[in-house]
Amino acid sequence: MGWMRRQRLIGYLFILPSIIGVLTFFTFPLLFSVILAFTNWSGPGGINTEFIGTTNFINMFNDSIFLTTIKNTGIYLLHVPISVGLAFIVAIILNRMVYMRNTLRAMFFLPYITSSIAIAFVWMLLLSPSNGPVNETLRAIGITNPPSWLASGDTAMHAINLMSVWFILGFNVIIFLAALQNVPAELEEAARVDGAKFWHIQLFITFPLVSPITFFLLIIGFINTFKNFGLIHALTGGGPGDSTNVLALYVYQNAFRYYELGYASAIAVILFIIILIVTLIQWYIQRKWVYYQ
Amino acid sequence: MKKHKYRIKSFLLIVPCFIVFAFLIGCNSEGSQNGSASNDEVVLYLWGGVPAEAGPQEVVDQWNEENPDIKVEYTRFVNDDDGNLRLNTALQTGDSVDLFMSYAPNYLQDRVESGFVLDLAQFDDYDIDEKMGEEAQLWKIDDTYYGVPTKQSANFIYLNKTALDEAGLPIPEQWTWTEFKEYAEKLTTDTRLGYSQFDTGGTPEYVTSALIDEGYVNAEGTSNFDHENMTEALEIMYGMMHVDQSMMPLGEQIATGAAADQMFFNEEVAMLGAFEGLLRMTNDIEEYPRDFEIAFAPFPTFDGGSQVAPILGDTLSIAANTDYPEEAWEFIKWYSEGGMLPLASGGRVPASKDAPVDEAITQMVEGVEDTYDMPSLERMFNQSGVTADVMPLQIVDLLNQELERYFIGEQDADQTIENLVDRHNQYLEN
Repeated sequence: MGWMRRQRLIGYLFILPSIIGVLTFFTFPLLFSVILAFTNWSGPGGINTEFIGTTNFINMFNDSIFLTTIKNTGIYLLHVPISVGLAFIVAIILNRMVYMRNTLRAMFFLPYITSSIAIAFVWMLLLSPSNGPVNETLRAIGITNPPSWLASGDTAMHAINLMSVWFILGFNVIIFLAALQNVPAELEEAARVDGAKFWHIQLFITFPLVSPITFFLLIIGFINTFKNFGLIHALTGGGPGDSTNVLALYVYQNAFRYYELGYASAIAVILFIIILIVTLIQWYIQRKWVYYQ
Repeated sequence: MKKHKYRIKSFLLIVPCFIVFAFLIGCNSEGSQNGSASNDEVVLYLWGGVPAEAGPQEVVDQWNEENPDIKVEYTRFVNDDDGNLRLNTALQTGDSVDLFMSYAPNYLQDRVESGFVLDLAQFDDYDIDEKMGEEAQLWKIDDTYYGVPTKQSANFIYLNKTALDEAGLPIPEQWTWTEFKEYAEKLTTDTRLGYSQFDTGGTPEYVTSALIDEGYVNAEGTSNFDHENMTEALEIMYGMMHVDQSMMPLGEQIATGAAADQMFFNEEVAMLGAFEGLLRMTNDIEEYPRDFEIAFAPFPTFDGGSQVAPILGDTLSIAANTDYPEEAWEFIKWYSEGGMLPLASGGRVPASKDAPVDEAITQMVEGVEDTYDMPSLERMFNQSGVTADVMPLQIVDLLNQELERYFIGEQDADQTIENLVDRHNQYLEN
């Protein structure tokens, strides 16, 4: 018994550094932010801090900006399935191509490794309402009143979605291309011999075989979209008005602009719960469409 | 035998752990000793938002030469949300900041509430009110000073004097917003807009001006955004953007990220609403070449309303946990009374009445005097008026959001005012 205990002790000693690391840099901040959600803490050193119960959570539902950011986050999520679907099609085409395959693959991937600030500026120029190349083109083909993109509250969120599709497409394509290499050629051949058309093969054979990857990309895409606000921060700062303000950006604004860290923590807790629920729903639905070999 | 072997092994494992631990503790105590007393040399760490090469390094070198016992080192932080957070973090951990600049009362207020700042009431050899004038009151927190405002901040309009001359318009010394709108319209040509506003993300000047006498909050403690001046201000700006087309519509400005200052240098706009900090650029004619003379005008007023007073800025404070409060205080006095002159070329004119203000203005434009209308520039540093209240950042942000919606045509003026009042009141209630 003593020997076993000592063995175990040594085992714990070995993992002690990692445990300390996880506790200090992960678990503690996480729990701390949950506690903060019930206070009016105004930042490091905050003197008049007190527990205010659920006030932060009640205020949230009277806060018109908060409700707007929930709606905007919902719209912002749309780019994930669109991009994943598009990436599937692009990957199939790239996979079949003989010439320029690597060049095109690199071109699709480039945005993903480019600084989001640089991307933001390029897109701002492209989408300039009066003299940007996009609207110039639209006017040239006869659309007299093209959308004003980032300059209008009605279209700004869609313009950001458009950019985001373009931004993560390369990453999704690369992952799909890797998955396509694992699709057994004999299944496809058998289908072709049976007379299946090209897109039927992709839809009924390739798609089910890469569905675990599709599921992975959707989950990762949704979680990242909930958490990231860098592109929006650089492009519009949440405007015009608050038409592109999303939950994560609002957390940031409350924490580091207004120094309302208690309120920011409360929103972060809600954000966490929303992500958890969305992910659980996805796990539930995946049983119906994801096929594991 | 086996047992014995394991005992030795576990012992061997524990020993390195202890060594690492002891080493860490050792490092720590060594570090703190280094920080507090090495060779009796006093080192003060000064944090500011101006790039070192734009003056602060010269200031610090000057001080170090005159005061060999007290060494000052300069650290730059960028004066935005992230940069200010960096400074606050440094103040929190407490060993690399002794002196720091605050550029807006909100930021200093946050720092005072966090207990980061030394109350200057303990020093009685320098009367801030008497030296800086009543404008310093803006920086008073809980009826005491936690920092010395060192510079005159001046918001004013940069005028392309060549364009004014061509249009036969005199340099305005005092004018109303209606006259300003007429100027803008007359100065607009096919290739040039009349006016453009440098966006600081703060309260727009026309809003400050509209409520300068009545305040943002009325006597009953509710929002004053429904004051008639507000409606007038909104309609004037909207008219300039969408009717006269003497100003770039806000939506266009946001969407393209068009830089107002660059447009002014390129003669794409005749009047630029900005602040004294841009003098750094207008002085640098190699980097920002221009073929025209610049004159200056104060921001307009409303009929019968007061002029918005220039405010004081660059407030220098002492960190609460500094080891050398006396030495830091000596530096603040020296800086305010003229030590800051190397910063003049960036438009920084001392606030103290005993500091050499004329010399600062001369230094500010040294070598490029010919490209300015000097009398109008000097007037900008002798403005007076009513000091505006400080608005919380939340209100500044919601104000700008609602104004954006109005200027891009998503809501009309009445709706905008109604939303502003509602949201402001909601904030005041909480």
